[in-house]
Amino acid sequence: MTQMILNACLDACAILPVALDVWLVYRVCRFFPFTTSAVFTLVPYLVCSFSFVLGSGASTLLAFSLALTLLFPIGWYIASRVASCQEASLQLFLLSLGILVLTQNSLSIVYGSQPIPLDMSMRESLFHFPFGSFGLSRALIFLWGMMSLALISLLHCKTSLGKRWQAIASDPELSKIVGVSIKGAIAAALATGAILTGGAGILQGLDTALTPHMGLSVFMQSVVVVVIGGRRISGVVGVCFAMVFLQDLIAYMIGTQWHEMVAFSLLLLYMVVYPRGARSHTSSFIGCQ
Amino acid sequence: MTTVALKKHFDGTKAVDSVSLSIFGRTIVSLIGPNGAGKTTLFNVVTGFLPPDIGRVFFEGRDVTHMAAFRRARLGMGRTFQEMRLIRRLSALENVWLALPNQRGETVIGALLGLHEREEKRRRAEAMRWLEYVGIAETANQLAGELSYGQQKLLTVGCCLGMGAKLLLLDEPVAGVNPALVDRTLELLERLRHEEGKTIVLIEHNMDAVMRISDRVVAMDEGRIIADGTPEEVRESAAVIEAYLS
Amino acid sequence: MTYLCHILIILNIYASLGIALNLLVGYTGLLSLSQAVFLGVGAYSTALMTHSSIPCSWPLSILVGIGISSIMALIIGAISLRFRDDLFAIATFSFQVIIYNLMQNLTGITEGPLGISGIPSPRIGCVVLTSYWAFLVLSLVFAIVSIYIARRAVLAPYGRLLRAIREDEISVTAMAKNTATLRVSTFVFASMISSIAGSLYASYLTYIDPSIFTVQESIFILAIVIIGGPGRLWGPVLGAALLVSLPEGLRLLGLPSSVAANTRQILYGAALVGCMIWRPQGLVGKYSLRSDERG
Repeated sequence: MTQMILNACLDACAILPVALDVWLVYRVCRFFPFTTSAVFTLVPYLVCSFSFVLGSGASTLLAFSLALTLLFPIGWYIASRVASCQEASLQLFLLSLGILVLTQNSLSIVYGSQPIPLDMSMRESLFHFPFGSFGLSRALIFLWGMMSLALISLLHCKTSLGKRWQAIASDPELSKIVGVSIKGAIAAALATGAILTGGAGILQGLDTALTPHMGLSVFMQSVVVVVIGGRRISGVVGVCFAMVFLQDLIAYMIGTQWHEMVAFSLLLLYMVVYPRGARSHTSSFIGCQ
Repeated sequence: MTTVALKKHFDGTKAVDSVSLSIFGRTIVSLIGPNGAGKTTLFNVVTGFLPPDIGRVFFEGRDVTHMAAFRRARLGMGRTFQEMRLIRRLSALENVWLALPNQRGETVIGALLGLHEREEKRRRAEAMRWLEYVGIAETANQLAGELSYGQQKLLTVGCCLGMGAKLLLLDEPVAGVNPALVDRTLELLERLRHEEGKTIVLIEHNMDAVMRISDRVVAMDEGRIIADGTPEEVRESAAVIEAYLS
Repeated sequence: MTYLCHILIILNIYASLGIALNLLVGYTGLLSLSQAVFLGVGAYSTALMTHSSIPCSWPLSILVGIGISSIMALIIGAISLRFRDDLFAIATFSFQVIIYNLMQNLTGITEGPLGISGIPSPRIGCVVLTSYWAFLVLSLVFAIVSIYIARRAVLAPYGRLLRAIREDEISVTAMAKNTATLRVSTFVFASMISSIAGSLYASYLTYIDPSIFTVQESIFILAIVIIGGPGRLWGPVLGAALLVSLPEGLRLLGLPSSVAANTRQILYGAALVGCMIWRPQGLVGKYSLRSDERG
């Protein structure tokens, strides 16, 4: 029983970095970034390739660098479009959708669609506690989740970069007039998010396996969390844990094949019952509590 | 049209604070006040684009407080917007044509069955008639986005008329318009009152215009009505002078 | 020759799907990612009903498909249409995934991932259509009828209303039009056309499985509309021509079929990206999704 709760917590930590990334990008750039799922899938596959030649540390670094370099022009374009203060959310939505489709299928061709585990040894149960046990990979997931939360909270609420993010999120026009440098702030948001998501992807590969389509399901869960979670970081965290708990519970009771439906059913239910909440992101609010 | 103790809050500020206003037919009423006095908010609540926190709105004896905006429009409440809302990609004629009520071709089934074809000539003539009435008939086939600012404002009035509005709520109908067109617009409003029996409420900052054509002036400040009477009375009112000076 | 027939048939079916979605995306400005739901409903209705021994089952199955699609469209529309652009897209996306899951897992009705094979050929009265030519004619007629219906709808005051709603819904509401009803009715209308396309698709392929319900399918139909050009009647036809024939052409050049499906998706993914950056109005479109050219 407690093992189940432990597992649910760790599952939530697996999604948390991605959810925070989506939250940040959605607040600052005002579109749903399917590019997140592209990053989630791309980085670990690159690590997989590089680790044949290099050690794990070096290949991780190289994978991140390569992924960020590849995605840099797209990121810069996104930053320009958002900075031009025109309503670009649909255009960027479709753009990111296209990038997702591109990435998923390119990876499918290059690596095939069979699941590829990154490193089996990390899954072995290493830590045994009275309330449950988990492997090194799961411990890392927990750490990465907590670190993402700490990083985003700190950056967003305490630093001047975060202040810029808050300004852009609440009123881009005004921010531009007042002199906030928008492009740089947006690029920073995208990059930070990408690093968090890439890390989460690698950990997923360590924990289970890599498939070309894994990004989409994690991303959509994040979208549900962000829409329901609202403008505050605490909301996002809370909803993330609640949703994953619910998902695992239903998987346990009814079976794992209904897993995916839970998140989306939750979202639709929320949209029916509380449409104003779903739209709350568009009102100007800072989101630091 | 009557409102009773209307209140509307926005994030803690009282945008509209206990406004009770009664407007009777065949008059031109001007709503004046400094920026942020709550005039446009009042329009939004009355026409149904914003829900009030407390209070009721009555139109021709009916309680319309919870009625959807488009239904109120159907009852005869027409309005224009401060930020000039028009369908720019359609021509001026098409804009007015759009506003004509009860068109057969506006549902999927109606469109597919071609029910609109029989009345097309009649509708086109009707739309043209309103364009001529407001005085921009020569722009009929130009895209609404290409008209001059003053012509666009006249077009928005034309759309209200095409819709069959009995009460016209006009938000700054002559602001920013060149003086020649201002005169034409004001004449139009007077004609509407006399010939068509319309009731007009306008929000305006142009005091000459207000003094010229209003039968009654209502002044607002910080969400409350501070004066209500003939143009001369309101002009002399101390409260109004203070509101504008402070 | 039969290969060419095959491409043309698929092209016609997807063109009709595109035309239906264009009414939503190009004319009303609603980005719907759930068209594959209706495609699948039509396909499965035909598949299941023609397997049974009901007389006149093929035409009946089309009607049943339309019926179920309309009901689903009403439900999906009622929920999603309260929201603006990207939330609307996400809502329809969610529906798509939920329905896909249901179709995959309710094996009692839908045979799950195994799919339904051996779908009999369409039988209208005594006429049985089996040959490629028959299907080509049928799909071509359907595509032409779709364009005709769409044209009639668009040229009527209805079309004008849709374009007005796309540009400024508040304005239209102030003109005493019930925009909510209008958008839902467009959604239902598009779903009906998609359902018929699905029925044709199932009869042609004689085998369907839940992959027809995937999100990728919805994205593909959306890509056809966007790349071809939203807001123009012929846009989706061009888009379908491009996105259906190009991958097939590559296959002719010797690309192994294992990568064929992925290549098709890479092509339309790349086309979508390119389109959004350099030509948001698509090939021939009048309506661009960039707000500076919107309307």
